[in-house]
Amino acid sequence: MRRLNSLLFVISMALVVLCDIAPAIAFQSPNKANDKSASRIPRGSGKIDAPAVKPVDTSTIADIQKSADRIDELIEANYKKHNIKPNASASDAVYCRRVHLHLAGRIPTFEEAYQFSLSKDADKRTKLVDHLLNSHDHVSHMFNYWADILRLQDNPINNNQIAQPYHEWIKKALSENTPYDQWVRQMITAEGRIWENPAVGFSMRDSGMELDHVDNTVQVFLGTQIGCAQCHDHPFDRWTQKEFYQMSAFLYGTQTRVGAGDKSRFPDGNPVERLRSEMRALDPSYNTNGLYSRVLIANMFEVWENRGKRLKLPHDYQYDNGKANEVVPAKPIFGDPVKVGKGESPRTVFAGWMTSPENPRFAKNIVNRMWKKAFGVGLIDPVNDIRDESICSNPELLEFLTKELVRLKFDVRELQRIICRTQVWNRQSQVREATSEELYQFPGPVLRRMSAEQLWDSLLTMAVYNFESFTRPSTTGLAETIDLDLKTATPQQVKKAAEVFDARYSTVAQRKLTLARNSYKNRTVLARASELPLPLPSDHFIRQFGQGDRELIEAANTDGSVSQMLTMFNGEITHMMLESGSVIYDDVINAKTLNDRIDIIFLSILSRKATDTDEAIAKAEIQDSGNAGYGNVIWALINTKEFLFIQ
Amino acid sequence: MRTLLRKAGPQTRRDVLTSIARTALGVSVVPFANQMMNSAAFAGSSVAAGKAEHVIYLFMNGAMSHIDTFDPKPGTDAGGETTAISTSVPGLSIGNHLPLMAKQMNRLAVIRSMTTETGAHEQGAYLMRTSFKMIGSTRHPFLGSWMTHVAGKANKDLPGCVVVGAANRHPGQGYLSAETAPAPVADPKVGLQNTQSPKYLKEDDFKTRQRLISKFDSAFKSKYESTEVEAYVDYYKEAVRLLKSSDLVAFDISREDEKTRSAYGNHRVGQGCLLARRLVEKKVRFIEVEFGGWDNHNDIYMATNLIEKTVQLDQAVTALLDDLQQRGLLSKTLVVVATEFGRTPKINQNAGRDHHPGAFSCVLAGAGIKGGQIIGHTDSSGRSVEDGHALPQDLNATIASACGLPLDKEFISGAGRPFRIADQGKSIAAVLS
Repeated sequence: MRRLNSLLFVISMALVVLCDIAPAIAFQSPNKANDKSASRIPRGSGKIDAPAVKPVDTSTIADIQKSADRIDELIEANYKKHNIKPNASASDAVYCRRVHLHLAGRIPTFEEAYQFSLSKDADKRTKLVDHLLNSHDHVSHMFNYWADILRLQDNPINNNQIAQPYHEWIKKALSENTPYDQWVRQMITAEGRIWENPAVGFSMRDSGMELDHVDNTVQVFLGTQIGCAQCHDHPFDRWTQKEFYQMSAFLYGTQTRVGAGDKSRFPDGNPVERLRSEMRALDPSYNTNGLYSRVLIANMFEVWENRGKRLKLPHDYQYDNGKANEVVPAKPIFGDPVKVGKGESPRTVFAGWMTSPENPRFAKNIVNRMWKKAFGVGLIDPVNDIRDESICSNPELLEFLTKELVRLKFDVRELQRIICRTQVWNRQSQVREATSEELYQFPGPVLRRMSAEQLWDSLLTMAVYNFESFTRPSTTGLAETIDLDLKTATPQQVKKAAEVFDARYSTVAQRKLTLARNSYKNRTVLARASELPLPLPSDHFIRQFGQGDRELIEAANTDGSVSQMLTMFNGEITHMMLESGSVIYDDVINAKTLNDRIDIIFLSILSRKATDTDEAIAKAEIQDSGNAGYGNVIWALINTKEFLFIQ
Repeated sequence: MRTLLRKAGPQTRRDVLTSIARTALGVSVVPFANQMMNSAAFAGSSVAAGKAEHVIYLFMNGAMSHIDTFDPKPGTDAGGETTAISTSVPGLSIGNHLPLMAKQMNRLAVIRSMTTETGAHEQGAYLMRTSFKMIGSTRHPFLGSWMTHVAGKANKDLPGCVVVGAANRHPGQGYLSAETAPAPVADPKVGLQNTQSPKYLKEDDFKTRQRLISKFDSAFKSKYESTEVEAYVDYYKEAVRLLKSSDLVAFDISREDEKTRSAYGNHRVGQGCLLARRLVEKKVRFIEVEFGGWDNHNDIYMATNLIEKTVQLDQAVTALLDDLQQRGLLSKTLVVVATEFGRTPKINQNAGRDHHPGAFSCVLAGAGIKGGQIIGHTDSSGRSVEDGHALPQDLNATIASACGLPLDKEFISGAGRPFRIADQGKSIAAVLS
């Protein structure tokens, strides 16, 4: 081995010399030097165009340790009960990669992985968790997590809405670490237009689907499926159609759209017709459909509460406990039987009931979801179909976590901090077959494939500098551009608004802006997953790896497919990595020795150093293929299962 | 397997079914997995022998005006500028912008009595493709994934179904396994994405890289023996096989001679149809070709709007049917022209037509279809169906019947709910040969 090393050292010295004189040689080809001019890979500005992240409270560390210890006690009690042998503690390298993917949604950079491996600090794991929770990466990662649950789309409901301010608001709430219960209440009770109160985006996402809205809300925040009861008594759970309607009555008054023909609102007549015909009178050739119409329609979306609107049982109601077309009073399906008092807003009463610490499923749902996020399996699984008879693998633990979240005043980030501190989360990962019928008792976190977003962001981590500054253009200034008083607006105002919208905020304009700023070959936008359009086209890398189209709650998957492999083999992103100007290329080329280079490659891609076997394989390849050998090794490692799966 | 499913409650059944999909290692095992799913979900019912082995489904995105295409109303206010022309079948006429298809009327079954329940594009298209209303809790499979699921792939190297066009907001495989997902081809001229190696990479280099992957992977693979990891090994092998497959060229329409390419027409629908024919030759089950631009709220008769689209459709369909016939493929290929709903008889103040779910037209031709006929009719203005009401579910049932897919079988979705391929749809008997 030593002899081989010294032999290779000579070869590598030769390469260093070669590289010194020709730093732009690409790993892609042994002979052909690339374009020596500027790299085609964009460099981020380093400026972060996002609100500051509120740092975690370092003074709570003793409490965190106490909670984490209690969790481990409860987990270990079940090891004994079920005769489970826990996995050994994960190595620093595995931990570093896992915690980055779990909290920052990407693998560590070479530098991060290397520094962590060198550090002798006994508290380095705790410090890394805090560091990552304070980062924009964490906001971005949690945004992707919620985007899948909340079905975020840039233009939901037949492309008519403009929802980006809502998405920016979610990122802001994550940055400020708004308590979860408060965040949910804001979404459920928000009123106004989306650019003045972006939280209305939650209700607007279900515009025109009042009953589905209730179904979705309950599924997302209470982990309970009552949708079947929309049309008939639930076949598998206990909900009756009447209970569904009673529950729905709370939110039924939520209006998401103003009618242009609404006489009480527009006593002088339909403003859309007026503005269109006035525009045509001014300029008969002007297209009053297109963007002109889009601006008008965007102004019709507005959320308010019509307290007089009553929900009735359907005309074909078939059960004995009610009559067809009978008005249904609001009543919750479980928990505290709150009533809507005189002068009270039903939405607000509902939001209060749902997010109350007393609600038996509100806190439980989110801790179960966070547990699943950390370990791959919920304490109750599936997490979105909790029933009275659902079997929990560790009821005492679920109970404890639920109480903890209430104690923490719904600080979900603090809960994640606790989970990362537990021994069980620090253990080596475990293979668990999806067909397994046994309840999982957590010998360690489950081995999982990266999500599509984690994969994309990880590839970008290796490819571009200043990764966190690759953002999408914000909608700051949208309100001033687009907000119209429809009663008094003039066609000139609408036309002006349409023009500015077209130049700055439309999908086309946004794409142009992003292409100019961070694109590869002027066609592939390189922004992190949370900063790309929603939904992405079905042939986009991220969609191919399982991001959903954001039509259904949690539509994302981590299933494999042949087209994923093709993308990894031949797609632009993996090959971009091998070009001069990519982070990994530069790091490798700037290293002095062959051994260093191999370590850099392994630390950059797999967050660990090469084993002896790895080293021998890599060296043999580099010996055989020269400079292109580096490219082959990098490309091959990116295509390994070890890269794709989170240990 | 059966006992496992019986034991499992409705929700764990979801996990079991998903995991079958996931553990179905590679294509060779898939038909077996399908069998398991079917036999577990219900007993008995066998797949009837159908005539169509392949389907080319042309979807006119945006809602094609029935009055200006297959259901003209000449001489009425509703008829607009479109007149009628006689066809190769005495007594039958269609719109004057479809002269080539008129000559092929003996091959076509035109359904003029289509009617649907929604006038919103997304919901309407979803209903057409899946037979189900779009709801928040379930994503239903489109017909191509059904066909791949039930009939299995006929060419193990290529995808079972393909969607040519933007394919955004397409229901795809719904709750079926990812194996049955349509392969998206955004642009027929470009073909299947990422099948070209970068120019610098030679065949030998690719082999080197493959060897490296398996060397670097061996420690990880022996540490984690998991079906999910193993499945990736299989996808990987399949991808290599696809790249090596001589059938991959099916996706490359530039291999057609200029005469053929121009016969189909140098436009999206023409080139899409040509790609579809190439894929049928290589036994791909179901190809959907999307053709947008039919949402003519304004200036419907302006040259670049409806008329251009109709002329292109006319050329593409005619060339496709001729070509399939010449190659002996028409007898096993069903061709469908569909859209989400119709357009209003009234021409609006912008010289366009608005959404009209009450009546619209679809066309079937080829395998399993009795051509030379018009099914159903609308009233004098094309407003409502007077005879032979056919819902989207009925059209899908007809297509499924022509392909021999079972209509009465219940399939259990991920959420444990039973579904039929065309919901409660009934095949239109008169259309089937």
